Amino acid sequence: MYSSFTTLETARSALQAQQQALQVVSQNIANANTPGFSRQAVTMAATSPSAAVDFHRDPHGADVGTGVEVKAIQRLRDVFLDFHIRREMESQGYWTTRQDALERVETLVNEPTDNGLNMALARFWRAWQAVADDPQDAGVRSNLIETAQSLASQLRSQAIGLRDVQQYFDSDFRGKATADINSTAEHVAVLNRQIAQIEQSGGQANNLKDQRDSLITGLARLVRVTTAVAPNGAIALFIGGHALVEQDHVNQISVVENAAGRAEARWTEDNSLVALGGGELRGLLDARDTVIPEYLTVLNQVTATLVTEVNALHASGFDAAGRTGQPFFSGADAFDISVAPELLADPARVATAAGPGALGDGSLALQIAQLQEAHIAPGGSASLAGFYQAAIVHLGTDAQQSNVMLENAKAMTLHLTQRQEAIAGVSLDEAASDLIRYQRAYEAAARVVSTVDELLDKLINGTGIVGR
Amino acid sequence: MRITQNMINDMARYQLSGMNSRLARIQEDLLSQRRVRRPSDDPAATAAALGFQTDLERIAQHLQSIEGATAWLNATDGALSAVTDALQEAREVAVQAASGTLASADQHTLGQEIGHLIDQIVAAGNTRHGSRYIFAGQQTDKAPFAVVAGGVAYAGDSGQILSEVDDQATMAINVSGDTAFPEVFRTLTDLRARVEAGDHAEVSSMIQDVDRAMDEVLAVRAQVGAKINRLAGTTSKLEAQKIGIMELNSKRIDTDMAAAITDYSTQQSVYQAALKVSARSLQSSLLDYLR
Repeated sequence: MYSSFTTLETARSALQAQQQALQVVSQNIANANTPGFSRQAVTMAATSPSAAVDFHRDPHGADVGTGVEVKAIQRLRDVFLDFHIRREMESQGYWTTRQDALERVETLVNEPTDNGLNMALARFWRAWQAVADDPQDAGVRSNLIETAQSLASQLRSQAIGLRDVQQYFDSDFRGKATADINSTAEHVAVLNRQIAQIEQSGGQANNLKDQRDSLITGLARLVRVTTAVAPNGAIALFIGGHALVEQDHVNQISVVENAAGRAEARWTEDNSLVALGGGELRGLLDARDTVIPEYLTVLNQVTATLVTEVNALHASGFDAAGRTGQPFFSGADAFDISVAPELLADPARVATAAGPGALGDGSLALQIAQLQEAHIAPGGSASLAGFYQAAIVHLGTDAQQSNVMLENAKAMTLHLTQRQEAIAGVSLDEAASDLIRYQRAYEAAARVVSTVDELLDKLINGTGIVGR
Repeated sequence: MRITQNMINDMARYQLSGMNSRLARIQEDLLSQRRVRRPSDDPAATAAALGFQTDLERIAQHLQSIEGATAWLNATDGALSAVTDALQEAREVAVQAASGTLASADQHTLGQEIGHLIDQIVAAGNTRHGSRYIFAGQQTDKAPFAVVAGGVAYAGDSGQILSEVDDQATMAINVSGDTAFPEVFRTLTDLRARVEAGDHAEVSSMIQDVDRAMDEVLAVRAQVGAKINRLAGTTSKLEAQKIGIMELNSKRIDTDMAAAITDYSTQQSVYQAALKVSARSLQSSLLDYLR
């Protein structure tokens, strides 16, 4: 036995449910192009038969239902894929930065061209050879001075260029390590609180969760983060084992300068060092502290060896006026190397002879020219050119590797995002057919309402009026 | 697997972007005519290219040194040739004076001739190449020979002028004035004295001294000639080396134009095809077909 209005109730619940479903489909369509949006789907379930109806249930019949309700609005997304995607984003962040650093070094180095250091060095030795062949010729001596100056200024400009690139990465690091991480962390903390509140009161914070996931993925590109989900739905974030966000509490990161004037990231609360595992920040640190210094060291070593060896020989030699003990180069490393100012002012001071009083003696100049082949590079088994060339090849292989790793990370990211899209993405075709489905169901339910209306009308207005 | 419009979009974007990069790269190869523009393009080829660069510069260096050395040696040979000629004339004078049929006035004239020949040889010994005296050892700024009472004085030294004409190969390109010349001057000074004195017998026996002096000069000239030949050989070798290296270098780091152009047109057609397909697949959806 059931009330006359039961069917009406059932139809009403259907109208509501289909309308809700339409609303969800509409939300999906509206956000088809929103990055990070997870599509939502309604779970409809038949409502349980009411107690009153149960009491009068026909023991030989079936339960008569009381309608439909939207049990939940599901957020369709694969959490594990997100985890993998974050790893790849971290990798992408790291290799993008590293590749950028190596590309900048390659541009500065400018090899193999006619304008690189390799050629400049070769020209320098050649100029000494020409002096050895004609020590009395003033033109050949000034050419030597000019060639040496050109070499020195190339060394200096490369050193300065590298240092500038280092500064650039340093300031990039300062900005990203603080502003970006702290603001993202604050955001996540706020979302944690809001999501916990909504879910505790039985709601579903689907859109807020999407926002939070996007933020965490963005953060993963910057630095390696680990996540932990709390029972109340809040996500805790850790960097290097130290908590960044826990529920709605944030541990800020600040940047301090270390002894060498370089930026370091430290936790504000206890000043301990932030263990940056991967991502862009790690890439920036590696670029600043490893990639560039490696190459700067090579430059400095080449310069120091050049200055030491040439000066030692030159000081033992005699110029046309019998002067000895003069240095050829001034400076100690790639930042301050230059031709000695006395020589610049007076090229006649170039020492060419091994002993005084013999103007035709170019043997000292010949000895200097022969330094080209001598194994004077650090390590004692290579010439200066060989040492330098090996460093360039190492740079090339390093850069090549970064390019490959970056391409791999990009391809992997695409593959994983596609798989996530397959689950969480909005398909307009699917949404269109859903629209039709819910629309027709709505129309049919409305039809039920009119049918019941007519029945009731017949019952109320059309019965018991015989003979009236 | 469920497919959404975004997946198709993303995939299309990724592939098209990849093709664009490849096209841009080939274009750069074609325009710069260089396949290897940075070390990361091909580290192994870069290593080779840098090595070739230094090699070519060194070869140019050696060729230049050889040019200078050859010129110096030629000047030496020319001067020594003049010395030989003068010695030959002196020999004839000696023969004449030894005949014993001349009057004392003629003896004197012959003596004077020898004097002139000595001056000629001194002039040859003071030959300059550019601004440098070639027979002065390392004292190249001072004329090495001067006539003094009793003979000819040598003011130069025995230093060598060294030139690096090949890898690890230095050559002494000069003949210092204390080789061969002292013998020549001593002989001729002696001869002059004897001729003036009319000492026929001595003059006669001195003819072999003149011959010996000529032989010494010839020996030195032979050495100089050998060095000139050696340098010519080295030049040919270095020129051939240079060409070989330049070819190798080009093969490794220059663009193979024919291959690159073909590659470019292939990539372009592939790109066009991809664009057409993307245009088709990005457009349709179910909504086009619903009322």
